[in-house]
Amino acid sequence: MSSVLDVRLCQVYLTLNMEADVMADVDENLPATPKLGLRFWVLWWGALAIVTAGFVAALSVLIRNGLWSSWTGMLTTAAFAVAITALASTPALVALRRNLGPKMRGPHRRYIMRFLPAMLVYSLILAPAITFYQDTKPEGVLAWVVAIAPAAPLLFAIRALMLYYKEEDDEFLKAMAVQSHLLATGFMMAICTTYGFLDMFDLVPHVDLWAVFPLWALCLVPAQAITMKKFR
Amino acid sequence: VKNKMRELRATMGWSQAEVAAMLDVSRQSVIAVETGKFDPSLPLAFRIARLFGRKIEDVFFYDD
Repeated sequence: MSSVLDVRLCQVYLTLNMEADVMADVDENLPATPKLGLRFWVLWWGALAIVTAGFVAALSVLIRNGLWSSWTGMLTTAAFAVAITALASTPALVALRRNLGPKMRGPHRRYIMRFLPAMLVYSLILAPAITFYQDTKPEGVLAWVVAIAPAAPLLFAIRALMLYYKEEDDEFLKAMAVQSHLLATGFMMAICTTYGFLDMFDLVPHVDLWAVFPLWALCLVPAQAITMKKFR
Repeated sequence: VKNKMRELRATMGWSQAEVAAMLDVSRQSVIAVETGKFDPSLPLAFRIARLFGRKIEDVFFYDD
């Protein structure tokens, strides 16, 4: 997208009758965001598919053979979380290694450094919390602690988002983030309201409220695509 | 709001990355402002005009 934009910028530039030697000094052909190439992304999506399929297969084997427990659940989700975190970091690391595009700005870097560990801790806590609750049926304060445990790291992930809004000092990037997040929130509210009524009339399976945050993250994908299209 | 940022930048022989570094903003911001896809805030518009040694109305103008 940005390469098309850059080509268009160069065409505008030529029509402005600027001198050719000035043209040589500007870097319009550089993309605004790193271009890692088709081969990289084919390999990346392939690795993502393999990791996800491996995780689902491992869960299936554990459950079918009666091997599912707090420990096996934690180890499986931990391995999956580490692999996903490594995959999520790969594009930025490869771009840095190839010296492509600008370096990540401070607020974005801090956001990543807050968000990823929170999600990693979440993935480590989730399976043991569920299994422990199902196996021991705790009561009282312990039940509350076990129930809140998976939510706590997610609160830190939400905090990372809030801090990003506060710390991002680039007004364009902040506007992009705010608009895409607002759009995602709108999508999420529309889906939740509609589904909530369908659920109330027993027309669809019940979905617990914890699904709201993952749903919001999913809504972010089309929201970011729409926002980027508007600005680029 | 339209602007002459691109012409001024070319006259100075500065790249988008250099302008972004001088303004302490991202290169995406420079591209978005130059193409008129994003209207900068008044403080950023003043900083852009000052960078090129121009008055703000010489760089940014409202297009009816």
